[in-house]
Amino acid sequence: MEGIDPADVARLREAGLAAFTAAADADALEEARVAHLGRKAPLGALQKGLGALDADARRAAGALLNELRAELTAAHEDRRVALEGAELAARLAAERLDLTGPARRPRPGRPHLLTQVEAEIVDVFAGLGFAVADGPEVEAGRYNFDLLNIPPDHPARGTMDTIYVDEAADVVLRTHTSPVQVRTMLAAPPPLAVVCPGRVYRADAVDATHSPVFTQVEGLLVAQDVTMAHLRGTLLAFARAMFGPDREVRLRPSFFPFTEPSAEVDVSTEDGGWLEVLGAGMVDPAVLTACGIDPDRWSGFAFGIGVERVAMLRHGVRDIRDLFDGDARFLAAF
Amino acid sequence: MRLPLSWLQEFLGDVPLEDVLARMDAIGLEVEAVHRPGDGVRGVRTARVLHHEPHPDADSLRLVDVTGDGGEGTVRVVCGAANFDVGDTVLHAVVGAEIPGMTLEARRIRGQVSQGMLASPRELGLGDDHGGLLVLGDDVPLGADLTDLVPVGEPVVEIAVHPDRGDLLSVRGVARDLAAVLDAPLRAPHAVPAAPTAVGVPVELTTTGVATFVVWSLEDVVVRRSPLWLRTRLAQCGVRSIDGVVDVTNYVMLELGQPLHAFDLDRVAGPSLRVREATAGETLATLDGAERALVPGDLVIDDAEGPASLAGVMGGLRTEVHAGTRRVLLEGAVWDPAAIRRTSRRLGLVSEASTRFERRVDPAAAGEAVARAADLMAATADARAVAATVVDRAPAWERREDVTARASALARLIALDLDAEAQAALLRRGGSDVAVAGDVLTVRPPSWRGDLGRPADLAEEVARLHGYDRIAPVLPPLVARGGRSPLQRLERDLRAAVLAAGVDEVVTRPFVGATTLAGAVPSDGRVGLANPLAQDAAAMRPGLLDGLLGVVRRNHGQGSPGLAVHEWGRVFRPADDPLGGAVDALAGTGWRWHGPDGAALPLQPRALGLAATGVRAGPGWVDDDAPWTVEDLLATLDEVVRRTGGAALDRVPVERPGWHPGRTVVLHRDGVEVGIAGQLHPAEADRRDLPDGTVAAELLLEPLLAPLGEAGPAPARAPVLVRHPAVVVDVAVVAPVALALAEVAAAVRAGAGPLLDDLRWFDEFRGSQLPEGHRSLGFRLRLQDPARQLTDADAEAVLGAVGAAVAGLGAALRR
Repeated sequence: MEGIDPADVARLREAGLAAFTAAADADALEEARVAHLGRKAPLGALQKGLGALDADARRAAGALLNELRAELTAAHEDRRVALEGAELAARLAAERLDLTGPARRPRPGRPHLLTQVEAEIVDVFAGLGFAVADGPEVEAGRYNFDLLNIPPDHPARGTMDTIYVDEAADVVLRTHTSPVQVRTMLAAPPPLAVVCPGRVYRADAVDATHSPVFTQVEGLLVAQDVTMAHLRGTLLAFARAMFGPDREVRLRPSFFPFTEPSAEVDVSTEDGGWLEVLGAGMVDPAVLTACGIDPDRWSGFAFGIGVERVAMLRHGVRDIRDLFDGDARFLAAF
Repeated sequence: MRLPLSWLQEFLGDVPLEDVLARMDAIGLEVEAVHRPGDGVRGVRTARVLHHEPHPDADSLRLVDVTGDGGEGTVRVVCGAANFDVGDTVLHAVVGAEIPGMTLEARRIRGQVSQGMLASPRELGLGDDHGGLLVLGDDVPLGADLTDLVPVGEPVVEIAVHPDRGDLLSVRGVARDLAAVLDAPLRAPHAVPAAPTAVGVPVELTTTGVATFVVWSLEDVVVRRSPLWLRTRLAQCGVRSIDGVVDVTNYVMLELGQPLHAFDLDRVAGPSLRVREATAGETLATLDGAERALVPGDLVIDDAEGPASLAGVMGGLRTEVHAGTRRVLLEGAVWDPAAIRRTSRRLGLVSEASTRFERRVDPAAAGEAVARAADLMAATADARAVAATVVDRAPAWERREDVTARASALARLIALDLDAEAQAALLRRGGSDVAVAGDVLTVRPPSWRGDLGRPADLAEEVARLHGYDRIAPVLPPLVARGGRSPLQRLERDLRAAVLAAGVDEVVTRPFVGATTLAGAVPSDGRVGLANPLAQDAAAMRPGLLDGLLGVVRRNHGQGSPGLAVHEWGRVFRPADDPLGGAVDALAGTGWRWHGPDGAALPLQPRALGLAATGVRAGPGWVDDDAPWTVEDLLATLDEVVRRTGGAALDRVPVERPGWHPGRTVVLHRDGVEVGIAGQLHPAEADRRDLPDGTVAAELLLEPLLAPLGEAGPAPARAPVLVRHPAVVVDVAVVAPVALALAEVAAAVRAGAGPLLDDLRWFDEFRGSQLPEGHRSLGFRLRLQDPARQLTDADAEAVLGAVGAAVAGLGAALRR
């Protein structure tokens, strides 16, 4: 038998290359591969028939067919890569998202403004070495008043100011968190440093600036040689932490039954004014004595911060009722 | 307290307003406002009424002729007031004049031209009186400009006075305090006459409630209207003018701080006075016309006929000064502050006098005040002092000791570098007598300072006079271990868990009315309020749900598509409420609060409440149309409980009033109820104007937190991460519908034993293929063993055990 007709080889090349180029997707390409490179393809038949040729012709024809197979295989591979690239590009184009729009979010709950401000205030004092103490909201009058140097006929104990649970048994809704200070002093000897956050009550009707329930963080520090300088230093640290590093505090003489000397404490504003923020003073010796602490050996200071007042000043809350009404629009702002 | 600047200046000289204001805040006189009553009044002059006649076309108006410029000529004015007559002197706002709110011009009123107007006190900013013209006495020149006669428009400083500083409730008292701070002399602008030597009305004191009692008898009295200067001062201070007798008592009270009372001496029976405590059943008609029932402890002044005045609070009607009074008995006394406070509080009767006596008046100034008033009444009422009676006592409440203190101790407390002499100098400026012996100060405070009784009081006074602003800020040393305790940190962590579930926090007012939705451990027990602010706030909340549902309703009413809210707070029950026993069973009794005598206070455990309605998130959020369900709230509570380190709570279906009977569970720990979660009964939701499907939950925290102690929960243990592949087996359990899922799951869990890594319920099926009243529950079991690869035989063994376990419940495993 003679060798292979080069014209046949050329035809197979043409047909194979054309089929691969024409394949529009992976399936068509596979079909073309089977048709032109598969075992039953004409190329395969030709190669199978090489055995019938004489040695020289076989060598020449084999080389020719191997060359053709390599060429077609490479062409198939090129086409496969090209098709895959096109497919990926199409998918990526189809998956395009416009991420410049508003992102859809998981909806988190929000802590209440009063909780945030209270926690922030407590954190400031915790950082200054104060522990955190808790106590009951329905409280014995003796802890809320008597031991704080507020005698039975004091005007603050009248029903105009204090909400009573039981007048005869002298059980009240605490009017400040000072009774927690009393309980702290009765429970453990000095030195003591605590802040007492919590709800307190006054017999005030609800309006834009009054609430029968509000929130205080009171503080107490009793140790040896505690002075008014320590009080001012502590409150300065508080004012700067809560309102800004440039703030100053001003102490003005005032009166509270449970402190002597007493002071109203103002915090400076950005425009050079002063805002009344809290009351403070050196613990009255009568209070120390009533709570079993020797005032000749120990001294201390106390302060009371209105959380609502701080929240309203700092966040521009205009109506205290907004803090207790739970309007979702208000809640969402903080 | 209102302080006209010109009045202060009588005592202080010409200090400018700015200096006064600058010092006041620094020394504890809280400036509330600076008023300028009558500010802007211009072109108002005195004029005499020459003639008046009715307006021809208006019944309520008069045509009035008054004197004109310089008191000459005639000017016609149309006037609506009728409290004057020919010959009276009135104030005429002429054409071109300015009064607050208007500039006057010639104007036609019902056809008659009015050349300006005749002014009432209110129109001039000189008081609230709008009932008629400001009619003056004969003491003013005609045609004079009002601003040349009295300082209308001058600054009037209003200050708040602290309750321990009764001495600041007078012009002189404030001036004295300012003088001490300014280190300036206090002037004595008004010489007072000596008391008449003749003995006056006999006085008997039968109570220790009075320290000083002074009465002067005045004769030849003519009661007439007060001069313009006096009326102006009173108006500036917000006091209504009555007549030349009563006005002077008020004026002297404002000036010197000593309340005074004027009796009509001809109406005082006897005349004699007796000061005593009231007895039960007595009554007294006071000046305001009220009939007051007296009790023992009230102080009264009797004449020969019985009670004539409620001492220190209000005078009696029977002996009141009136237009025809010819003789006056002028009284100044110093009363026990505690007694006056009791009477004033009991009667709900707060007067200028009681306000001052409650805060203590200067016992040394009563005689001076009576003399000053008598002197003024000589001018305002022609009064002539003829006799006086003065009784001084030193009752225990007025006896005051010298105060001794170590100057070094005071200086240390106030952190000011002031030695004994420097402190003594400051205290002397404030009126104290001070003796210095080395470091020891012996201080006799001035008679007007009742608040200086202890070394701490002296410390404040020294610091105040030296200046609080000179105290340097210094941080105190660390004195104790601070910061939040582990349990307090856990509480904060629990808050974060609820927020992470998408539930907003709210704070509500913890008061409730008569009807509430019962939450965890319901009872009828209420902590009622003795003096509630409103009927729908008559008790403390027994649970958290009412406040939360109120928030839900409010937002629903505003068109909110849905929300979930929670609140942390105390709930309140009586000390013997069943809730106490439930909490005790898990937490012991350490969570209960007691009074100083060991008496139990009401229960006030901490709790967490949740309420939700509508869609979870809304547009713009993930899962924007998923609704809030009971399961969401349960999942939230599960996470809270998990973070306390405890096992999950058991859920027990329950039927409770107000709750959906098929969608409510109570939460148990060790068989004790600690919470509830469910959907509101449709009727309950309707009654509360809430959307159907509103869900709520409440969890008592004390049973979870108290057992942990201050140390908080034990640290969580790291799990062993098994590296052998797990075997996953799905099973179906056919069980009676009444059998709770939790019970079936517990049986599966128990049956599966230690190889079970995770159990999930994934399917429920009901259908005719199943026996009547049964359902099929699908569970996926994940099995693994840290030590080896599990085989099919292991899985078979587990399934066999699970089958046996559920069979014990009357259920069957379907393979």
